[in-house]
Order: sequence, then C-alpha cells, then structure tokens
Amino acid sequence: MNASSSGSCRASEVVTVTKPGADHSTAQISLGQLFFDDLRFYSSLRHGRGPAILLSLFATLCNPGLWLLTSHRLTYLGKSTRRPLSATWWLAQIWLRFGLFFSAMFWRSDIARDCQVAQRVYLPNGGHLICGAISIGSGTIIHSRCTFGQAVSSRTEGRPVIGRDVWIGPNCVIAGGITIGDGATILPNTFLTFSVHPRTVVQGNPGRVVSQGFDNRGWRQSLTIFNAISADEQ
Amino acid sequence: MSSAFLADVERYRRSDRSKGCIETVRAVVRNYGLHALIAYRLGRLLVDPRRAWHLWLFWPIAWPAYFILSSYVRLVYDIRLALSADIGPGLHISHFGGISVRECRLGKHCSIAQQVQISSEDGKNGPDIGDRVWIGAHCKVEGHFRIGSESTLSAGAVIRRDIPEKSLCLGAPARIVIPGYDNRHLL
Repeated sequence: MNASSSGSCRASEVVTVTKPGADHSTAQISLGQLFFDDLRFYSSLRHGRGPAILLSLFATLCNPGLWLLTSHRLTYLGKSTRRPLSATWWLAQIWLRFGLFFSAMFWRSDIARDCQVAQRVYLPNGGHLICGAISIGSGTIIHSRCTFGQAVSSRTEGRPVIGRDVWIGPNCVIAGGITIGDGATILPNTFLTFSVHPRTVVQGNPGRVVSQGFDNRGWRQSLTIFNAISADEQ
Repeated sequence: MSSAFLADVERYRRSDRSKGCIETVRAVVRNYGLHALIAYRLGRLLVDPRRAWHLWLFWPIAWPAYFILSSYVRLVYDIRLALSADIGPGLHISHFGGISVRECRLGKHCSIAQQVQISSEDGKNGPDIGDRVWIGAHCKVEGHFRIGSESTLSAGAVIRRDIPEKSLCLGAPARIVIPGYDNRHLL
C-alpha cells in the first residue's frame, strides 16, 4: 500500500477540523430527501453514471448498506424528534421497537440510536458494523466488521467522533472518546485508541501513525480499490 | 446444565441491573447472547448421555429443537458456539456478529464480545482459558495455549503464546502490558 505517495497539501484542498461532538444531526431533513441523497451517493460510488439508469438504480437498491443506513435514519428520527402529526414519525416509533432485531437479522449490525450519521455516508455492504459513535461526518466510507465504541479501562472516556471524508477499512476497532480528523485514512485491521489529526494514515494493532497529509480522495471515489488491495495481499 | 444456564442468566441480570421476576424474563427475551446460550446448553445436554441418560426419551423433540434454535442463532446473530467447546457457567456475550467458539475450554464467568474467534489449529487441541477472563472484541485465540484466570485480553488482541494469570495483554501478536491487572470492574 503506497500510502504516502500523494502527500502534497494544496491550500484549496485544506478542510476544516471538526470539533468534538460536532453536530451532524439530520433530524430536520425529511426522510425522503435523505434517502434520495443516499441513493445518488451509493449509485456514484458503485456504478458511476452509465447509460443503463434503471439497471444502475436496481443494483443500488440491492445494496444492503443503503437499507441499513435508511433503517438507522428512521430510528434516529423516531428517537430525536417528536412529531405526532407525522406518519413517518409513527413508523419510526414502530421501527424503534423492532429495528434492532431487523438490523441484526438482515445486516448483522448494531448502530446506537443516537448516533448522528451525516448525509453521504457509506455503510458496509457486508454488515457486521457495531457502531456506538457520537457522530459520523459526510463522505465517510466504512467497511465491514468495524467496531466503534467505548474503551473499557482507558484514559479516554466516552465515545468516538468521526470526522468528514474518513476512509475506514475492514476489521477496525475505534475505541474511546477520541476524535478522528477530516480526511483521515484508517487502514484495515487497525486498533485505534488515540485522537487522529486530519489527513493522517493510521495502521496496526495497537495503531500507529504511518504518514500525514495523505489525500484519500481517490480511495473514496469507488469501492473497487479495496478489492485490488486485498487481492494483492493474498 | 440448568445450573450453568442459571449462572448465565445471573450474569446478564447483573449487567442489565434487573431485579425481580418480570425483569429476568425480559432479560432472557431481549439478550441475544442468552438465546445462543440456550441452544448451546441444550445441545451439550443432548450430546452427553452420561449426565442425563434418561433424556433419550425427549430426543425426537429435543434434537429438532436444538437444530432450529442453533440455526436461528447462527443465521440471525452469527454466534457460533460449537458443541465441541466446553464453556463453563456464567458466560456473557456482549454483542453479536462473527463469534465462533470451538474446541476449547472456557472457565467460569468469562465474558466475550463480537468477532471473537476461539478455536484450535488442528481441530483437536484448543486453548485452555481460565476463570473470569475478559475477552474483548475482535480477539483471536487460535492454537493450544493456556490463558490464566482473571486475565484480560484487550480488543483486537491476537494470542500467540501462553498468558499468565491476572495480566492485561494487547496487540497483534499479543504482549503483556500490565501484569497483575485487576479486571473485576469489567466483568
């Protein structure tokens, strides 16, 4: 993995640091709008823009991660707001009862009800996501078998805050009240318990900083790049 | 078997801070770890004819019940507690997903989490894990190792050697960070 190849940091590309406990709340946006946004994002990730629009739409709708995200948005809406006149809110109230079972059954995932997931977030297609983060910023890509949660017996109490445009590989553990800066890259099989500056690459168990100033935009363009990496390693 | 299962329920009741009869029933219904343990304890009861030889009368009901329960747990929660594992009373499973425990010996009052893999390399001699061991998420114990009682395996640890008692180990491959660590507040 050539992580430090494009380390240049131009002024136009500098992104602002997300504050701890950043507000990525989507409670004020309607569910249909959110779903439409997610659909467009997933479609651009997996298939690009091709002539076969219907086929691309069908392939995107078959993506389990999209439905996991939608299920979580419904749960979050039911938990964080109170709108007794809205039919969606009542649907969310029903979903609060059964959502955990369904997310276990269909997606093998468990996302905390009060986790703030911003727009344009990719959740894993294969599931196995145990997410207890406070918030996840937009543009973040999360692969399967990840765990975000509290660290037991550590100096950093609390739950992690994940910034924008973060690339998180499979089989990662992110534990403790830490902040992951915007544009950070967390390589597969990382065990991370410290805060990470923006555009940092972290690897290893226990995690260590591999390089800084890495632009992971190319990695976030599509999901096929990870398949290429794993094929090289095996 | 029933006493072992009651110890499991007691662990879950303590972690949920539930008191009374109704809250205990609620703990059994809600906790998916207990569903997995019901299937496992039933299967262990059936495969060991010395302990309850008269139970062959119930085999036509009990084996299909075990098959359905274990399939449900495997497919829905992805918790695989194989009958070749010898799990002591009072196991606590804190999350679902990717758990596979086979060919090993787990002591009393252990605690495991998601993506934990405990198995042997050759299919026969598995790890020998003591009592009151806390095993964190994504932890891998594969091979014939002895892990002492009251030790703590941190999240993501990959065990490649024997671990003495009361030690906190971390990393891949795991090394002992704090010897003499007290993990009573975790369990």
